[in-house]
Amino acid sequence: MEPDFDERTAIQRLKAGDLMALEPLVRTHQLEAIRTAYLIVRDRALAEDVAQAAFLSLPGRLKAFNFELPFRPWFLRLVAREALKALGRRRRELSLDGLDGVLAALPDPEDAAARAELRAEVWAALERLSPERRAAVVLRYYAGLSEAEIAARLRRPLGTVKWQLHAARRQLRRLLEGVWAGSSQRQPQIVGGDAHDPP
Amino acid sequence: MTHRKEKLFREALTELAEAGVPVGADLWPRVQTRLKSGPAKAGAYRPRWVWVVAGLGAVILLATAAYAGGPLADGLLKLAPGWSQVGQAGLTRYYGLGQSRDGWTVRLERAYADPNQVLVVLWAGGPAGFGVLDVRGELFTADGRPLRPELGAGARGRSEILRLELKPDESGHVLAFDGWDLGQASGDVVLKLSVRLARLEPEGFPGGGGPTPMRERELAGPFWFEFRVPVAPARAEVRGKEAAVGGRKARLERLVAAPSGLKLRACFEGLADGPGTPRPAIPRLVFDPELPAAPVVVRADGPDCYRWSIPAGLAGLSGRRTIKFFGPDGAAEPWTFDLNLP
Repeated sequence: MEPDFDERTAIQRLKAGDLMALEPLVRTHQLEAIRTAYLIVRDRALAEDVAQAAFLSLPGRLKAFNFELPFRPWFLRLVAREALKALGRRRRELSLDGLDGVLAALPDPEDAAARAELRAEVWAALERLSPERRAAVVLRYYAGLSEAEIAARLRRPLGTVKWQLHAARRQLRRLLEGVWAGSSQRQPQIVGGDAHDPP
Repeated sequence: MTHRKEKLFREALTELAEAGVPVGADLWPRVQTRLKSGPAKAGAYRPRWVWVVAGLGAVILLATAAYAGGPLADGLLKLAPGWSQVGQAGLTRYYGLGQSRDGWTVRLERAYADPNQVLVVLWAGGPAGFGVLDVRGELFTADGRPLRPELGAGARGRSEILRLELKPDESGHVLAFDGWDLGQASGDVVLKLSVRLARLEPEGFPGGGGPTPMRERELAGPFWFEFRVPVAPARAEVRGKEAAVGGRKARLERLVAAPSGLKLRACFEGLADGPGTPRPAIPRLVFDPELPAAPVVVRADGPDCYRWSIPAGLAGLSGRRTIKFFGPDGAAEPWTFDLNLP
């Protein structure tokens, strides 16, 4: 999403000490930040706290921001790091209690039952991943960051991130095996589309 | 994962995120409170103490740096009581949208909207030696309807009262537009702003001892900005009250009290010509008790109707008030309307 304000100017002014320059950054990126955190910490209130902490940490962290690079992936990686820190502190076991509400709030597509099943399985499978793997998966598949972008902010070597994603994918494949099988019966077959990456 | 499975997985993640965190979350008030008061005192999630101490130091230092020079909007909005209250209540939205062309720069700093007024705060700068800049702003709704300009104010140089310090060849401006033209009392509104930079220059020599003729020299523009701003709700609205004096009616068509101030439209039957004026003069509006001092904009608004815009600030408006309109014919008895503003 292209911001409807001069993001670079806001970042420069924030870096120069104008704290009010945070406002357009918050308003533009807050939804994606909270959602990214939510998929990692799996708790709406905690996700908002995480996103808020990430925004409040910006004035100090912008020293490390390379103005040649886009802000969004850099900031979402920061959110993921805050989410991991928050999980590490709380050590809280998050249940699936909130899932019923989540599923009920979703739109009602044609194959609602299949999609609801997929979401429930994905939600459950995500919980089985370690927080680090979950963060890598959310950044890769929800936020759409590249492996190199993820590695840069999670402060892990690229190889480690690749391995984490590979391991996460294997684990997810195993956890979601039943769902894929079910969904493949309902979905039209894509001939030849799977040749390069067998399950 | 295969492409298809990856696509399904991405979609599932997106749907989970959208369902778990619906559109509408607004962190800014919380972030703003934290910026003003330091790190959170309570909450489900606290940063590490090291961060708290370091962060507190950073917040204090940065806040001092930001306020020492006096932010442009805070200073300029002091020019009218209603604007000042809008600024103090943190109701304006920051944009920092800058545009440069041929050495001239215009930056949309902040904007605010309520049903009475739309305010935009601009910073302008140019090459050295061009002197006082004037800005000409036009504001349009997303579908191209213009909002009538109401008031404009600007500043340059240094002001202790406004806590402003601008470099030479820089200036700050507040432009106020008629919020009634928005036709919207709440929600967000998308607006388009066109700004031209100009300068008044003497043109020729004064004739017969009169003032020096001036002409406007356009320097740069238009600079176009498109932005979204929330419309703060009105505090009170009154419609359709009537009063009669000597068989002549006056009708207070509409009065709106909003954070930026007060606006009202009234129509009068049989306004006599004022002495020496070729057209009906404007009735004199008096508040009892008086309003805090504020600029007043009056404009004709249909036959025998006028619209007053007074950015007086809600704090000075609440309670019982009487509005009196004195006719231009010098009659002692005014049209009187009693109001109770929350």
